[in-house]
Amino acid sequence: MPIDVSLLNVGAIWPEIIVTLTILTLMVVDLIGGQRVAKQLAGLALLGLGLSAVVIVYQLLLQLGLIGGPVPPTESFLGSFTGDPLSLVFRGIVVLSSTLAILMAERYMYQSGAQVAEFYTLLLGATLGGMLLSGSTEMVMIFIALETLSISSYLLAGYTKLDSRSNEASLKYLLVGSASAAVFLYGMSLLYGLSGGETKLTAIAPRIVDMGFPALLALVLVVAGISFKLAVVPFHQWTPDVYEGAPTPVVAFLSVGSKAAGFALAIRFMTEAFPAYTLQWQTLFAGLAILSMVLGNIVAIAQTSLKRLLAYSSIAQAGYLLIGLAIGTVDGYASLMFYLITYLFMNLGAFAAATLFTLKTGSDDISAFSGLWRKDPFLAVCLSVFLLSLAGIPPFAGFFGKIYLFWAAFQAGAYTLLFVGLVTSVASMYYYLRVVKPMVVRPMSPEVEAYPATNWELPGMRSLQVALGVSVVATVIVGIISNPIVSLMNESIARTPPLQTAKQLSQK
Amino acid sequence: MELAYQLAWLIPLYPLLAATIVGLGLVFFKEGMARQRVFAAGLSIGLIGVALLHSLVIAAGAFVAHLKPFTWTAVWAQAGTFTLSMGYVVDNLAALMLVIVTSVAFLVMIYSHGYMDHDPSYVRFFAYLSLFSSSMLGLVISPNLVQVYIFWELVGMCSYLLIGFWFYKKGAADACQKAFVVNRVGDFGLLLGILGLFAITQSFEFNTIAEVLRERLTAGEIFGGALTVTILSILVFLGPMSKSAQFPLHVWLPDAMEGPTPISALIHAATMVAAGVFLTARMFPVFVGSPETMGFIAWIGGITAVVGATIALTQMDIKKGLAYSTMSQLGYMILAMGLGAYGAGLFHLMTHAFFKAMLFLGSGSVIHSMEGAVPAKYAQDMRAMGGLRKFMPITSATFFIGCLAISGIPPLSGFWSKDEILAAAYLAGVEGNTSAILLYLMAAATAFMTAFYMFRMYFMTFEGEFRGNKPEVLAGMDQADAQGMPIFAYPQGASFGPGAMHTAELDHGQDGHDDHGHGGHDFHEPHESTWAMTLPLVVLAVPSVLIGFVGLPWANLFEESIHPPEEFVAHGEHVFELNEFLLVAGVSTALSVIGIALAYYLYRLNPGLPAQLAAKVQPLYQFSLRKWYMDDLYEVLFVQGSRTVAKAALTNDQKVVDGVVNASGFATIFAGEGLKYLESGRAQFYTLIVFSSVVVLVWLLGLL
Repeated sequence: MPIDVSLLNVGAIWPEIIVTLTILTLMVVDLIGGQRVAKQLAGLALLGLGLSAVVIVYQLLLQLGLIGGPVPPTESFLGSFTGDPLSLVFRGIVVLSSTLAILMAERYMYQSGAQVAEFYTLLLGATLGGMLLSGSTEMVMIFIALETLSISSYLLAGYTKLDSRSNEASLKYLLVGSASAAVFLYGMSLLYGLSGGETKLTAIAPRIVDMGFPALLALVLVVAGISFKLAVVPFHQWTPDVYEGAPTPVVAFLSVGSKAAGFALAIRFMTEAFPAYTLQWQTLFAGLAILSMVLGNIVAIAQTSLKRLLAYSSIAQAGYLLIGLAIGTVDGYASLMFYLITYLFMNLGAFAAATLFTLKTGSDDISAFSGLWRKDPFLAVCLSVFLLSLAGIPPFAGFFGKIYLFWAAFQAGAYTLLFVGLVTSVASMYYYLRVVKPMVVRPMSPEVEAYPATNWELPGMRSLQVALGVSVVATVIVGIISNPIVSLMNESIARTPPLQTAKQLSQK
Repeated sequence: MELAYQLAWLIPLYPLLAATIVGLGLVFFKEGMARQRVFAAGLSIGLIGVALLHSLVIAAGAFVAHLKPFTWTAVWAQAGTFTLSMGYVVDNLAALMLVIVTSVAFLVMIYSHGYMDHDPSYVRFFAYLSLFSSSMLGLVISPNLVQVYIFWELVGMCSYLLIGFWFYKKGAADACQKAFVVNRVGDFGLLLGILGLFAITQSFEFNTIAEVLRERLTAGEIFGGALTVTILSILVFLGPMSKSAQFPLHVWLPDAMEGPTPISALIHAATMVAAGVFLTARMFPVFVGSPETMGFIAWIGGITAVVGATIALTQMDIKKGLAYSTMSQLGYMILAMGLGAYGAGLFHLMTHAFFKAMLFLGSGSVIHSMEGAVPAKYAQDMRAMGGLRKFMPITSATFFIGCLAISGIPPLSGFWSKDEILAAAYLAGVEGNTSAILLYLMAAATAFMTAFYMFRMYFMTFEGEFRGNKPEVLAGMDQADAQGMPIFAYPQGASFGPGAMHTAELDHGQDGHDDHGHGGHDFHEPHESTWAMTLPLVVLAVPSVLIGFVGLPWANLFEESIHPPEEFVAHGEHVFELNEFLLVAGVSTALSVIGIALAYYLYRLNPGLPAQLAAKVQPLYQFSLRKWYMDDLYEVLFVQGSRTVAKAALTNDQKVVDGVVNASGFATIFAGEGLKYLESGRAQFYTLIVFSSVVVLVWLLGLL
């Protein structure tokens, strides 16, 4: 069958094309230049991501009608990919988290002595997977994108080869990930069969209405597969082990970028393929949200390592984010996206702070942070801001993010979710403050006693400083200017067709 | 000038910039920044100077070029139908307040350079001063109640920080807490009022609230009708009551004098305490709609004026005396507001800001010089002063002008503004408002007392002989304080009572030597302060004398510019009547002159007489001295009362709540520790959980 290239609408994947070209350039430059250009590779990767981000912003503004008339989103590649505002927002988040992760990684890679070129290539590969996943509307495409993201992530988790914990993390991630992928694939194959050979999500929806149990089975399998990516309870158990063992910048990307792609997939899959089972998937996600909020927050209390604490905290945060999905209103999606943006900065910031501290002391024990305020007020203030924001304390971004989420839940009448969310947020303050308080009031730990003065001139330190600075400024400011961002999110959802039809279907 | 209007949002930002730079410097480079005195002072004074210039341009636009009010708002938060805007408004009232605040703040900062010279926390002081100026300026250009509330709390916090500036002194630490707690009472009322009004009108804008309130009241749509409106208005008014130290929430203001004197001048005399009057003016359209509220406001003002004046009669501490005088004058302003004399209240606010700032700064100059001349605990006590005119001519001259101004001697500024308030009360009385006649009498009595206690202060401080170097006087003060009758006939020529000081002198034989021996401290004579302190005094003397001429009763430029939004008040053109003016002004001037004469008689001619009089009317004297026993009453009612409640709550907390909390905490940690072991670290176990979870979820959904 001859295909008219103009129908493919290739323009929609310009951001991905740029990232792909960057990957190729990185590999070629590294092959030719070798060690001599190692220091320039980060800049090259950042340049590619920056260009990609510019294109994403341009396309988003174009579609929202903020520059020129609103351009309705069109399907590309014969319906397997869409560049609608929803996907653009999530692709933007993935690119941004990848950018910050690279800024953090520069010094980390330098100090751990690992090869840098492959690291950036893999990270960009994971980014590419995440971006494609955010826009995929067809099951084959979804699976390929998902595996691009996953396989890159497995490799990244084990990137510091000489560290046995990194190896362990990588292997566990691979094993559990493969099992989940199998579950997910099984669900999709069921859908393929039930719908009589359809792979496009929107084409599946009308064919599985009133199908009952088989469709529900497929739903559960798909949800389980996605939940692995979101790291929500009970599909979370790989998280602490991987977060603890993998290199910190990788963890930062996994906790935000990979999760964001997972949420994009969840929203799209549920609203496009299962509009007839809205009640069921909402109940499912509500249950998972409650489990995540409760378990994530409770187990975090018992942690002694900051990275493990952040792992459980990110499980709990995923629970909060799921509230937005589980209530399934426009406000819910908008507040989910807004919270994801605030979460991006505060969580990446917390990991950046942890990276800096680990680089200087070699420890990430919570007890090692005691008295940090006296040796490095800048780091102590930054880390406090991130953790307080994660705890949802005003005036930081996390507070506003939670307000919007809880408000949406209240308006949707999801009182149980709201109640659990509020109670667990209060409980979460305990473990966040358990880090903040000793930094300020306790005497210095041996690690802090031996803390060297920060020299920002060392290779890669500037980038880390930029990552910290950007995150802390964004964490402070995003909350204050929350209104324009939320209205942008609302607008994005209003211009995303599947969410509109989903709303109409669920109203019937 | 339009540009200056549009850039008005910059005015609070100038001092904020200074506060941020100096404050962050202090946080990050503690000692390093604390040594940058010239930089900190220069930056703060320079930026408030810029703000002053900007405000003057705006004032020129408002009062000379008669520009239209300028409002700018932007939606800050939106949820459903609820919108919250933030922005700024520049109208004539805001322009007036901007000039008052920036000019007084500018002069006070220059003064502080001299006054705080010996203080190790000099730089911190400037950071706080700039932060306060910024908050206060933000308050006056706030376009809605929410923003007002935000800045209201900010100035409250700055006041707390500055009263407790010397937090290592117990008195200062207690005073800042007292100020904060008492203000919370009023602020809570204000918040309730704001929310209540919002519930009815769906708005935070001053004029919209008034409009909608009136419409809905006439349409009978408000639950409870006029009574609800009155209650809400009074709740809002509780805010101004606490901030402007109105009876019975005034108790914090005198204690606030524990702060450095420049603070007393800037915050607790000229600007922040006037914020209450300012908010009353802003809410005027709302209050006018409820006659009961206006009556309440007038009476609160009148009572405060009398209470403040009577207490000021017997104070021996120069700053406490001025503090009660401030309270009394704020009462005047609130009284004017309550009588509907909007312009008169604001006029008095303006004149008072200048002359009271000057008086406070003058008292600071006196204290500063006394600190070198007597032991520290007597430095503020007027009984140890006397004759300072010889040592500090500039301070005494400006203080004298201030006393004349506050006493309402024509043609100084205080005369015109006070006369306008008295005339308003008198007129309201003549027009048939019986309670206004009573209020007029109270205000007139206050005018008399004001003249008396101000000149008592002046004579005790500046005239006669210097007493601080006489050991028998200091000993006599200690003894008199111990007897609970601080007033005593200090030895002065013939009035030295026979044998009166006999025991005191004996006591002193030991005490005096002890003081000198252990203190190891040579006291020198009082001296005039440095230029940094006297210059602001001289500058402030100019408006204290002249500013009244903008509000002459027969050519009132002030009221032409400052009047409430037209549509709410029939701006009745009051025709100037010479007879009526002569009557009211004559009476008040006569009362003032009698008051001054009485002070001269008692404190210059017969210095022994006050003590005898006080002994004769012991209960009355004690009533005034003990501040109407308000503090004691509050001690019993609120402090002890809340202690009792707190103790009960503590018992409940320890026995019941702690049990629950500990149990839940224990359960949580136990659960956390327990669940931790589900993390076995084995990948096959993880996958098992994934698969079993799927099975469970399918089973659960099957049940749906």
